[in-house]
Amino acid sequence: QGTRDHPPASVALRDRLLAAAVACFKRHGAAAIDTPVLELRETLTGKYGEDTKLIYELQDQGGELLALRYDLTVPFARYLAMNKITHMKRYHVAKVYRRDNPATTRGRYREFYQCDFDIAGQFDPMIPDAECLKIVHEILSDLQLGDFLVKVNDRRILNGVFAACGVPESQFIAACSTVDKLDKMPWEDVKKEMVGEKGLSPEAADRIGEYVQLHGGLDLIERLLQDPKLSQNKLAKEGLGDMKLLFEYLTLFGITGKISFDLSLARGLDYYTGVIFEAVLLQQENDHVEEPASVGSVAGGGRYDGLVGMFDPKGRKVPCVGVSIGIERIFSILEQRVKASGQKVRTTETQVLVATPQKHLLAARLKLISELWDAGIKAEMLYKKDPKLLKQLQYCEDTGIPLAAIIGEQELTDGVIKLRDVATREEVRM
Amino acid sequence: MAEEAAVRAQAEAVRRLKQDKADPDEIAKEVAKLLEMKAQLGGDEGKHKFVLKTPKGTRDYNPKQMAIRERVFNAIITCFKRHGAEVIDTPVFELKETLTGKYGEDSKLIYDLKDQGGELLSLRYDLTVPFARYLAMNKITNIKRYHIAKVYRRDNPAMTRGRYREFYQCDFDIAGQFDPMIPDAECLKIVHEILSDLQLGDFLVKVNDRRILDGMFAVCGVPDSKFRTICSSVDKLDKMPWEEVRSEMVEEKGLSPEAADRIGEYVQLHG
Repeated sequence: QGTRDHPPASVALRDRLLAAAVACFKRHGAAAIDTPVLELRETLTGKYGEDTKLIYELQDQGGELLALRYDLTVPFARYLAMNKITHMKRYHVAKVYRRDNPATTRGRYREFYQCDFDIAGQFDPMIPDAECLKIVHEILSDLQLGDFLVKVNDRRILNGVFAACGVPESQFIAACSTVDKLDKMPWEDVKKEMVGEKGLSPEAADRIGEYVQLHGGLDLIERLLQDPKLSQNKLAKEGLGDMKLLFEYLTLFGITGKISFDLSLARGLDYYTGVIFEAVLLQQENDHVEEPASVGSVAGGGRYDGLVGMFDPKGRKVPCVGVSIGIERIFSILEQRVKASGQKVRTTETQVLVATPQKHLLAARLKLISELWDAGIKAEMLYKKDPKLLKQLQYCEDTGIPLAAIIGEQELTDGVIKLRDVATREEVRM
Repeated sequence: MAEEAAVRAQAEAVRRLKQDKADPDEIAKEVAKLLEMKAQLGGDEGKHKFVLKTPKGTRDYNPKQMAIRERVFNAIITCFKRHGAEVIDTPVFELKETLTGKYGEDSKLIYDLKDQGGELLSLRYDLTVPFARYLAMNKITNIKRYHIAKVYRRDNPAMTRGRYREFYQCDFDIAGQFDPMIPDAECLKIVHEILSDLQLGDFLVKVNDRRILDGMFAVCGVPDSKFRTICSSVDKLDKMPWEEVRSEMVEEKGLSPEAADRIGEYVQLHG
């Protein structure tokens, strides 16, 4: 449940997507690593907050207690701590496992790919963070998914807003997770949850509401830097200052057209400490989507400075920032589009079919195809001793093979082959 | 340091209480005190006990290793594609019942997932059984497919010999009713292309046929019931000399010395 086989057409499309993401990561100088799908249970414990119950555990079969990895970030932190690495720019494309409720129409599976790019190390502020956003922009543009928006916020600004609005520190996380729902629920419902379920005072909720419905660019940042309540909060000032720096760098990268500083962005995971961001596709009119909310986010990430320190025996910190590309969601969208357009996707890359029109020519076929393979040409033949020419040509049409190399008795005598263009039926002797 | 000593003392006190089967309320009180002391100590306690490693029999791949791996996979995939194979992918776990009864003795090496209230699952042991399941599920009668993915076996990992519990398999299979030996020949051509391409040096592909082996056993007087066990002895000829294999067949597997000698005349042949 929550898993699926990937038939050839699916895999072909998916591999193309992954290749596009990897090409971008490489362009930015990232190196690849891989980690086991299994981790010690204790490695994953205490890292995912509420989501811990979604981890797949392995049965105790008398050895170590194991679990399937939930994401690629915690394994990365473990890898850094294990190898005492302080600086690294890495990408990792692999499957992760979550015992979610797979609403499979929304593209949510229990086994799915993640494409992660992370920069670990102590550097000057916001430069690596800006590069992560540039990468998201490049990949989403490259995949031609249509218009998209990258929302950016900062955990420090959020916490600063909560403090300024009179929320007690112990309720920051609860407030955060409620604000996070603003992309799915209107403010009225969010406010109700804050007051009714999470026990915030209605005044505090109102004050929060004034802030979290704001979004914009450098102008908004400047305005908030002048805000009398926020400017008194050290954390908020720090966050706003870095946000301003970030936007200056993004302007130099030429991508601010698709970036929005959005105070309602909260992001689920506990381990974020600074900038957080999320990319969403802006719905096209001709997209067949079941529910408007199902477009969902296609990339997300942020800064997490404390995670590696949780693994290091001496608690040494390695600050990190990274992004995860939601390849499965993008894949679902593209798959739907391909289906809707009626496009036929080839599942092989074969260039030529080696065919014989008469009987007793298997040997000639085997010899020729071997020559083609040895020369690096992608070739196929039917596994029949004496196939009919029509059947062979039909096979070409069915699988999209563009050319047929035909050797019959005449060609053998003349020492040539006949190359036929399957679509146009033109033939050339060579 | 003093706090840690205090925590240890408290832990010891709790242990003693439990050993002496003291009043459960008192135990609960002391345990609560212990937990509070630990919490106040902060995350340090956890870090001392923490083991930083990958599970037994598994390993990370660093960038250098990844570069080599990528090169090897490219060579392999290029070859599979050159032969017109399609690629499929299957989930890393299968229903436990899908894998049951397919691997004989090796079934004990399968990783099972904990029963967490849903379906009973196991990690795949190879790519062939999932392939067979895929064919049956989709009612496919003809396909040429490759599948490159990791499989999982709770082996005894002799790490230096390159034997892990999590490792890649690169499979190429042709399913379907065809004229004899043509697909079989293509499989061997593929092995030849890949091994040549990777420039590993000189190599040899040994070929035989189960039907020839079984026919030979029959002709040499091996009882039908002993075919498989004799087969696995013969299989050891690449690691042991004939004398030892013969001993095993006669002494351990109860084969008559005459039959063993007759087998010996055949199995040492190659050409």
